[in-house]
Amino acid sequence: MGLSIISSEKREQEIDIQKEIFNSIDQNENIIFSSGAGSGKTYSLVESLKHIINKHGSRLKVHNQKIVCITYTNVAVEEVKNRLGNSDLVLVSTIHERIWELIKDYQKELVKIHQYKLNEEISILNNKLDAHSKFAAYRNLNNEQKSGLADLMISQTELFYKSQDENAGKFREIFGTQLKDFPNILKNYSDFKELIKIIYKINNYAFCLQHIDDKKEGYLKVKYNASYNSDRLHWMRISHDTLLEYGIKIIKSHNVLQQIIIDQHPYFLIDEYQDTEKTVIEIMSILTERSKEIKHPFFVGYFGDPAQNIYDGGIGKNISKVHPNLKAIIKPFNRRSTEEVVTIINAIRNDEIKQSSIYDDSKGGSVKFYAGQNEKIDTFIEKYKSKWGISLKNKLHCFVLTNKSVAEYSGFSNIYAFFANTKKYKIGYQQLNTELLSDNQVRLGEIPSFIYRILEFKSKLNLKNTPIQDLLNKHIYSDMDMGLLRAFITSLKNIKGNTLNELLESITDFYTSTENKKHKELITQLFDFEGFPDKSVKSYLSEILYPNIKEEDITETTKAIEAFLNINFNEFELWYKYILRENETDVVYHTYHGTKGLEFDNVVILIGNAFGRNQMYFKNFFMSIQNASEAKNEYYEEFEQTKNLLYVACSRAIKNLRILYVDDVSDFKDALSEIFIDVKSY
Amino acid sequence: MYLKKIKINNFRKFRVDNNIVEFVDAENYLKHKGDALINIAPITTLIVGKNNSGKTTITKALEKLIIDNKFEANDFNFKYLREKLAEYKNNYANKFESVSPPFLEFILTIGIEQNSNDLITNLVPFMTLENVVNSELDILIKYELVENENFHNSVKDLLDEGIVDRMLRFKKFVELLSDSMDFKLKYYNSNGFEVPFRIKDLIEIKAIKANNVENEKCLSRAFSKIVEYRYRSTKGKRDKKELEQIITEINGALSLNITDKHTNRINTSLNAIESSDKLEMILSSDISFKKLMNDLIKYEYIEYGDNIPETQFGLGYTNLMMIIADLIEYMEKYPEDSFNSKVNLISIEEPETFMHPQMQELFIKNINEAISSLLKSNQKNINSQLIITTHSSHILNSKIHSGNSFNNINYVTTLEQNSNVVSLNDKKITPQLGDNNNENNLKFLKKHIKYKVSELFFSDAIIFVEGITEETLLRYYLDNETKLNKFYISIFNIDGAHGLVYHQLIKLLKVPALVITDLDIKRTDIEKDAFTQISSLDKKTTTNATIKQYNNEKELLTNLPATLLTENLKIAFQGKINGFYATSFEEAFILTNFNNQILQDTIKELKPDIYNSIVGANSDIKEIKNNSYKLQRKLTGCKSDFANKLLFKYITSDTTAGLPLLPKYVTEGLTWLSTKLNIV
Repeated sequence: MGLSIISSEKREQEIDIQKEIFNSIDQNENIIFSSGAGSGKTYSLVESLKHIINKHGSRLKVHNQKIVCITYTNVAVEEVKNRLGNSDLVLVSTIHERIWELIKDYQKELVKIHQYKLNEEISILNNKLDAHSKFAAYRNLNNEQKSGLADLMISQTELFYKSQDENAGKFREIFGTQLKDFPNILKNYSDFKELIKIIYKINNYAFCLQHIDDKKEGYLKVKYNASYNSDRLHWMRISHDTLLEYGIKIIKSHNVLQQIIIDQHPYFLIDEYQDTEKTVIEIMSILTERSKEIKHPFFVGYFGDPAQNIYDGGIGKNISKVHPNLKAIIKPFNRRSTEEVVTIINAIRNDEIKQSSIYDDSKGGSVKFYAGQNEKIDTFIEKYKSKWGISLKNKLHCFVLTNKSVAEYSGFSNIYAFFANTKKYKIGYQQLNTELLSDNQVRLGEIPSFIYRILEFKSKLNLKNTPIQDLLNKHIYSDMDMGLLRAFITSLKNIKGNTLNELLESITDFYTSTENKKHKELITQLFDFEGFPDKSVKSYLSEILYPNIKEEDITETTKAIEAFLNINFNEFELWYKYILRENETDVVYHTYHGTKGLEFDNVVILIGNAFGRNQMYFKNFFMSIQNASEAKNEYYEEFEQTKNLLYVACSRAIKNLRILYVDDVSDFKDALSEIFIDVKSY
Repeated sequence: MYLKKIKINNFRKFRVDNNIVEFVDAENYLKHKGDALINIAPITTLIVGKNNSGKTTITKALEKLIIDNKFEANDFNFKYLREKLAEYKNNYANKFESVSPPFLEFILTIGIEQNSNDLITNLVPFMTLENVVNSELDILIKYELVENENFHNSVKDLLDEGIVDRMLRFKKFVELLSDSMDFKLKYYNSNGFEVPFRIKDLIEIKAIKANNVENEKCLSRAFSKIVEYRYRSTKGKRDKKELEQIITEINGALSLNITDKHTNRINTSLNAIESSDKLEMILSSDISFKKLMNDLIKYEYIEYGDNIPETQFGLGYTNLMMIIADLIEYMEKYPEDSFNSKVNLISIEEPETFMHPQMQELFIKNINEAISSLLKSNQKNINSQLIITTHSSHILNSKIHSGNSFNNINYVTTLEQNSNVVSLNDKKITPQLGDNNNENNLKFLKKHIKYKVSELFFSDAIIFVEGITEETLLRYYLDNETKLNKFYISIFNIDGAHGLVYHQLIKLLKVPALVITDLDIKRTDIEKDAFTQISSLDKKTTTNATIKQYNNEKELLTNLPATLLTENLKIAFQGKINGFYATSFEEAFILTNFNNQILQDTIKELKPDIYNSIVGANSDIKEIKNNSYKLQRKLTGCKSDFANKLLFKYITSDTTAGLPLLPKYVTEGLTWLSTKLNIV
């Protein structure tokens, strides 16, 4: 069947490379281990961990020291843990979890940083009020009036949230009389709303600062919760990004903390370094410097592949600028794919890492490149479905160019269309890929993450084997007896709805009808937005997805949100399954980005000139190869990015790879032949 | 909440099957909890079995889990370890990729009563939505290595040594395990996720050991402790203060006395050596509440007006008193306002030690009375499950009869060197007979079993017979059979239909059982009057309930197999003997031995006229064979004489040659039994 007989010669070489890593570990010589797709990078990582356990484990145990292993996703965490077996010495986690573990006990310092951040946010908001033309009417008020307005509106918070979505006339009816002392303030109704929101925000932050000063309960500690990806600074809760920000701040400014981290964790192994945030590399670099100063042993090993850097936030090739003096080790073998696939992916990456298959029997795959048109896509897929005998057990994985097509093929096009048309994602189109389609729930955007939480909650309630702790946290269930718990669960199970709208209403009804504080707390945690329950879910959605919207657009956005919430519930379920990658179909559709780290027997890649908003994305790429262009330099970043994306996509295939180019390729046929050897038309 | 089940995997003699011990269920528990008259028999879980069957292992497992949190290499099942070593060997080439190091596993099932107000904070991490509905949940506990990789590496080194001797290699493997006993208890919920937990936060166990009569003053010590607890309890606080007042007074008086009589004098002598500001000392009395409690009590019992010291108390009584003292201590220690957030287990191990049989019979009743009077005297909400481990048939008997049920009896036996647990309950052992009278059958079984308990639960094999002749003769044969007589084989003489009542239970206990029954061929009145011999079963029917039951409910004997086998039961009955089918054991015996002198003599002695009329003037002994049915009918009234006369002749005969033989179906049955008992 192929890919089963390992060449003994190459195996020897692989062992030698592994020994080189071990050697560096033993000498505390920091390394950057790079190897291409499918090279068994995780294997090398796990072997390195095993080496440290066997060689240095007893010493580490005596000093109560740990080995840190950082991976990119929770899925990867589980994978490494499984391969490693039980070990108390190794801490495997994602970067955010680890950073939090490292700093969370230094609350005094964290709270200080938090205070600083709050003050910073307040001054940003104040600057906005001082500078933006929208707030001219506000600026014309004297100080007494300004604080009078703030006091009045803060006392009317509930009313404000409830009337937020009323039309301008109704809104003026509600607030007009109260605001007559503030000239022109209501002249532009949406500017006014924006103003009040800023005032609320400043007030919340100031309130929080005051409570920190007064050492009030709930304000003594900064909190971080991996399942929420948005800042709630005034609740003392920070998001993933803010966590990294606080992390580097606290580590940078505390020498002792650096030493504590070094002494407690003398080994740091970081997987997928190319996609790791720069902040993290900076932290590692600081620690390395510090360890040299105090002459304490410390080892950092980076494992990854610069050619697979496809996320903007990742450090990629620039790692050595941030963390210098790393010893480079390269592994040039491929353990995943057939020789035919390996040849192609080598040609794409075209750098110092040239892979060869580690197997003696590596032949037997097939790669073909076709030039065709959009209209041919369906017949193309059908052709390979029958040719390769595709079934639920032998799936075909099809990578498509746009998020839109993935959504269409996976059955949630209306949901996609809604988000793509919101103000937020029209501006931040790039983020939609991650924030709506990521298989890593941590990276979902605020509203997709909100919807996900609701769907997850409902779906878990329907499953028999859902652990209670997945639904209720300890604070909620503590002090309950069995009867109370049972009654609680029963009432939660009564939450129902045929549409998302009905479901949300049902949850809100539950909140208002229950007298029990703990019950209310659960719903507050689930919804997790400021102003609940006065502010409706619709207002929340509109606020985040259509920030600072103009008066004339309100009717339309309200309509859009209504329609979104009433989309057939089945579509939401399909989206939920897509996020969990649980779709049960024989052809599975992916975005290019979404396939990172995966491997499939059969792959069909659909490609064309355009990618995302860039009409010439791939065309530019192939053109610059075609012309061996000197223009490459100014175009370098984008060229690299495109190359990486294509590399990641093609290297997923184990046996069969088909590529269909849906635009005219005559301008860069030579470039294509250079990489894919033979270009056929379809 | 209560402990409902424990499944023990690979601990000592337990493997992965038939290893579930069930404890008293909620229904029983609640029903009896509020009763005015406390009867602990139904809420006691009994673990019963022969020596070395693994019954103590069960409470040992609980104690190790809850109290010690630690196991030894020797606690692993050795067969399991052997398999592990083999697995390591087979996966040497792939660096043990798929091998998990040895671990012990225990699955505790916790039951939660409906409407219970127990605090469940401890349990929620293990609870799923389904558990909330079902009111029970599993806690998975694994005793696992902390560092797999280190262990894999040592095993690799061991295999690299290339030891040829398998025994030695295995020994070294076990040593490796005990050297690297870097193990940890880990807890998982039913979805396999680890839960940070300590079992002792949920379950408490008080173990009352067998043979806890350690020394001559143990009873005094035990009651000292109880008195101390009582003083220390909220109610006893004032008494304690008063006592401490008295102690202070005594200390004062004694100190004065000491100073007066001793200290001054000693100081005077010391002053002679060194000046008083350097060496002067003060001696004072130092009795304290604690010291007093250590040696406060003298236990005596009163006999005919004399106070008899503890040392003269019989061991059996001392043992019983010690158990009761332990129980009192436990109850006194229990906090008074305690909410139930815990499962409380009291395990009493082999309490029968030193007790004579009648006392064993009364044991449960005695404990019952002790506990009920204890509970009456204080208001504590003690929520305890009692577990008694025993190999006493008397205690088992008293549990069945005081509780009037087979519920909550765990019978532990050894099958293929592994412990094998059978959890009995009324539902499981209720005879499943076709007569819709199952409840009455169960009643009958409970009554009838009273004197048979030890035979059923503690014998190696059982033979059911249906008459005095086979009982007498079989006993003689078994006593003289050099291999079978090494085993404890019970013979039950019970008539077929009633014997069936036992079968469900016997099947559960897995004791090999041979049922020797009769064909009981139905004859017409004419055939009866004519004493017709039967030489073919075609179209004949039987009146025998056992044969009918196991022959697919058929009365018809056409094509009846030579024997009927079901699980651990073999049903043996007459086949064709010297041309005829016998209807009873006696007839089969006569047919088998018609030309045997002893048989002929016996018949002649018992029924001379009939004998003579059958053999006739020519003494044609073949006629005995041809009239076997008639003879058995004539012998009906004097079966017992027939058996005893035969037995007498057996015993007085000088040689074994010439003794009558057992019918073939019986000897075949005994051969089957021998194989079941692994007799080669």
